[in-house]
Amino acid sequence: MQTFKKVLFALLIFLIQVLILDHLPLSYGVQINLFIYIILCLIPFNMNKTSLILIAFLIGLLRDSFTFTYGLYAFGAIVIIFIQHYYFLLPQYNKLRKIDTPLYANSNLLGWRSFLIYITIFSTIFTFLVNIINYLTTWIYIRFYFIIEEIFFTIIFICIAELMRSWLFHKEEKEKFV
Amino acid sequence: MWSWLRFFKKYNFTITFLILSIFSLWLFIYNSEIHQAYFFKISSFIVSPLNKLSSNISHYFYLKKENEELVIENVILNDRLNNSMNVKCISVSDSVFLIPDSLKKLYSFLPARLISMTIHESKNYAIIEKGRRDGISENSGVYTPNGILGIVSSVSDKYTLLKTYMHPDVKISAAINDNYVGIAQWDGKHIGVGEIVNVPFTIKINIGDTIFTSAYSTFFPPNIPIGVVTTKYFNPDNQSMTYKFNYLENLYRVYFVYVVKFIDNDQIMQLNKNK
Repeated sequence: MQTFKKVLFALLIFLIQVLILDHLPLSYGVQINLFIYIILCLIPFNMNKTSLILIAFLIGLLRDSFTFTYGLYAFGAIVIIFIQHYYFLLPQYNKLRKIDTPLYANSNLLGWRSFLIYITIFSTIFTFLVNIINYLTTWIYIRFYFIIEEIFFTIIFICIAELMRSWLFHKEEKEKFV
Repeated sequence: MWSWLRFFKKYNFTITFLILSIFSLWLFIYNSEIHQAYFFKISSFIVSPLNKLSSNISHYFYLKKENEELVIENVILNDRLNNSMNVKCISVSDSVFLIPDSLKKLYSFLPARLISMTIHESKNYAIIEKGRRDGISENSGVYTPNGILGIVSSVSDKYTLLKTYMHPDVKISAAINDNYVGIAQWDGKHIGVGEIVNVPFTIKINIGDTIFTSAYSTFFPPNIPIGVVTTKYFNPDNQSMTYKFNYLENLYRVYFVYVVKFIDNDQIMQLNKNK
């Protein structure tokens, strides 16, 4: 039941991305990449690595079909999943490797401080990667200031989504820990 | 054989990553018109209905503004109609009449509703809710009452994908003040800002002048507004001027568009092929 609710929540996040955020005149040229929250936080990071990378690829490709950038976001998505694998091999996450149940990289598991560091690192990698590839292939300008703005807004919206998630799944997570 | 299998089993994560990375980069970098058309046809089943839903909701909030714009457009059209009524046919003899060029039907127009558009990418596209079965074909221009919007890129039965003016491939023949014809294109940097490069410095163009489509364009009829000149600067390397302009159509609030087809376009294409 909880998995079904999580899938629905992921679907809601994706719809917010393609139906609202992509059309938001927030600032000139700023693209908010909220959909990486699904890849980073709503899929268990300790599941089978190959399945994880395939899911990320499909989510990225689905996003690409809305922006007509076939392959760009799919590439960004698989790169962050690849790096995420090594990120959770860091010594401070040793205790998590002993747990068999599905683990989600959210504020509940990591704590808000570590969660913020986690999403900042991955939002930065993703945004830089996507922008550099996008602009190198078209040989037009790399807008450094916009990239910083994109990272900032992506983190803000991921935090809002995370607050929504912790409010929606508060009861289930409390029961799980009890 | 077994050692290969063991190798693949051991490094399946890295191998999958490499294969998918190469595939997605290839997909993006070699994103040709054919790929684009193919993916558009596949993805339009999922993407277009969702975009249509979003467009329906947001459209509802702009009805009042749209009505006001329609009233203004009606006034302009009435004015044009009255002017065209004043054109008289030239009588060559008692029985033969030559129809002046101004009354020949050179273009066909089709209204359509825009359901999706990208603004933040380096190549921006839009989808409109009419397709091949409505008579839309490739190489048609798309504009709104405010100004030009883009060029048709690929067409499916029900939907049409177009490159908006914020796409590096969209270059439009533009006329300024009836004394210069150049190529107007997106500056590739800012939303809604275009440029005309390599203009001889002897040509007098002022800030605030309006740029229109020229009579040489095969995508648009002449005199459709493109933008207003905002800045100019001199290029000492080739002794020419570059003019920056703001496109008149604001991409954030486009709902209805006109698809314009130059009726003789196929003949011109054929002539170009035979060059």
